[in-house]
Amino acid sequence: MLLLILFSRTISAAQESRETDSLFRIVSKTRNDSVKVKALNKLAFHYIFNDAQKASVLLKQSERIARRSKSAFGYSEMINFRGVLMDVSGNSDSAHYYFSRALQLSRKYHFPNLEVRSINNLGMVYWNQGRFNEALHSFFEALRVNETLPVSEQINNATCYNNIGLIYQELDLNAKALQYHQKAYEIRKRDNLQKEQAISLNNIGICYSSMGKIEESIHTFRKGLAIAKASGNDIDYCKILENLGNSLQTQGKFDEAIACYKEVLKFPELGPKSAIGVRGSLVAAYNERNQPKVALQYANEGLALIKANPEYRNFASHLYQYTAQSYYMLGDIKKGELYNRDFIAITQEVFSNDNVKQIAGYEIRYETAKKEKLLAENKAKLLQNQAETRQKNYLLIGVSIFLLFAILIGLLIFRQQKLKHSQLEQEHKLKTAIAHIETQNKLQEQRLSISRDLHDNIGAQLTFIISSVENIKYAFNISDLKLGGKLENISSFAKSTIVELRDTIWAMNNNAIVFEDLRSRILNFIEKAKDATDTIAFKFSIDENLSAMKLSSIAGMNIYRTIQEAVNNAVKYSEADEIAITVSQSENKINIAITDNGIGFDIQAIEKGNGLQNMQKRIADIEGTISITSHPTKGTQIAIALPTAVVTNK
Amino acid sequence: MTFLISTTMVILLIAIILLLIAAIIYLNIAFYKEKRLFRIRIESLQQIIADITKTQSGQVNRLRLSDALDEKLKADNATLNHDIFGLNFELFDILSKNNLLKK
Repeated sequence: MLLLILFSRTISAAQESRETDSLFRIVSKTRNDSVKVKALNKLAFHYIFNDAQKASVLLKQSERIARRSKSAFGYSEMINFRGVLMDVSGNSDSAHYYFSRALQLSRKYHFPNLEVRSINNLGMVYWNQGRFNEALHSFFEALRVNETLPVSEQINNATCYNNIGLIYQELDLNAKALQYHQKAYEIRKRDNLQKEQAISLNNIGICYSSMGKIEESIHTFRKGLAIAKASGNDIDYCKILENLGNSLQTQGKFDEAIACYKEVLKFPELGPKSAIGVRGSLVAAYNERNQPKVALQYANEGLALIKANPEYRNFASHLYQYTAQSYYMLGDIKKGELYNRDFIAITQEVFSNDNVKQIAGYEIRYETAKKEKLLAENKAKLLQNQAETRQKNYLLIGVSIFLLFAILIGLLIFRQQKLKHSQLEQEHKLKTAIAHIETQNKLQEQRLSISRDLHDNIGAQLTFIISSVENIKYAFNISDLKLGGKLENISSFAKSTIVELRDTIWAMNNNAIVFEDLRSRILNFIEKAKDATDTIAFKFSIDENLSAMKLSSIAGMNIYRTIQEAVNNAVKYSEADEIAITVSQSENKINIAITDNGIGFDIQAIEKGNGLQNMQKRIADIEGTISITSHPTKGTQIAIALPTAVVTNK
Repeated sequence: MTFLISTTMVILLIAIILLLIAAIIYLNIAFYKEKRLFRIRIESLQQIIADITKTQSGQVNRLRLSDALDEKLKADNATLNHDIFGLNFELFDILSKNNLLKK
């Protein structure tokens, strides 16, 4: 019940009398019904713990206004407070009804905050009824619903944790109780609630003590004491101090324990129950210190208190026991026997009460354990099923991936085989082409070899003809002009043929002709021309960049023949005293110019002979252009332009 | 038992999948390696073809020159034959006029 009060106080916070007045003012002045209902509920909650009758009147007034204004929240809250009123009044069945109704309404109208409070209050009712399992269930449910709320709307979880811890303590499950008290303590520490922190530390200390961890319990109690003292919380300070004394006594530190107990006795707020208990503890401690006379002083004080408050007699069995011990120690067997008999009588009486309570406790614990076991088994089964399902899923995914990879590998192998096949095919084609070209080359080489032999033979025959003609001319004095002319014709024709033959063989002997070779060939030809005409000066210039360039044999031959023809024409007809041959390279052309400073001619007036036509044909064969520029008395220029493609660097 | 079997199966499958991944990686590497080697081989063959084609082109040019020369020589031969025939004719004419021919 005390805890219920504490919890309810946490919800509504500390209500000062000023606050009450202000609430009454709101009730009398406001026209807003929902505000009025809220204020009436708050007032009723305040009076529940002081004036139950007034609280009941206020709640009825709140109900009337809430019904009239159809304020669902106000009505639900009123029902919840009515439950609290019933619980405080000791009508736990009615309290259960109102809390259940409040829960139902809060769920129906979706007031999660009120839902949490109703569930928690139900838990308190169950706890007071000794239905620990249901109480635990309610507190856990309250926690669960509370955690679904936004942080700003949540009620303090610490109270739920604290209540759960206390129930576990009731069930003698101290380890679990410790866990929840520690959670409650952490939250209270975070929120800087000093009074509540002291309560939590006291509970934690009790758990440690019950678990036999005396050192930890002493440490925790001391911590709790410091906080309780700092916050001026005398009631909890006394409780913690008494518990600290008990722990110290268990540890054999009797002097320190006595000091604690004496400190507790200084507080006037201490109730008779605690005062009797503390005195009993003091008697025990002094007996341990072998000071039975001092012990008896406190025993007498305690006995006097029992006389004044006989309802606490059953809580004072230890006082009787230790008082008897003191008398035995002093050698007063008679009085010792007297108090010992009282002790036995109280013990027997308490035992029968305790026994009933303990059996009920055991039953609850058994039921709880049974349900927990069932729950654990179900959970284990569920987990196993989940694990099996997960395994099956993994297996399915694995098989799918395996199939996918297997198909992928198949495709890769197929792709590789296809590639190999196409590569072999391509390679075979290339090799066949190479073999074919090589065969052609061999055949052409043979043809060239045969024609070379033939030309050599023809050359020899022509030389023989020339030689024979020259011999005839030399051996016989030929006076006949016609005969002499014929011989001269044959000789010069054979000579020109042999020159042509040699030039062609020169071109044929090379796959490609370097410009430098062409130059020397032309210079050679010019030298011969010079021999014929001493009056003409020849100039030959070639661009240095072109020297290393190569021409194909046909291109070389055609260029050579064209230049030869142009020079011959100039020598024969131009009457020039200077003939210049210039080979140069422009952007994408190779330019060859044959220029003379002779008499020139009118291009329009003359008819093109074989020589000019041959020149044009030869240049056209190698995709070049030829142009002739001439004016009477201004000389002649033959310009040849060739594409750079006719030459190569290699 | 079922759980154990399925666990073993899952482990086995994972092992096989890892093996298959390794095989896929190996096949891919082999595929690209094969392609690279083939490209090198083909490039050398293409180079050979380019070289012999160039040689062939040179030979064709030389043959064309040779053919042109043959044509020219044929024409020159005819001219020369004609000139020699003319020379002989003149010679016989002179011999005939001077009664130097054998009877």
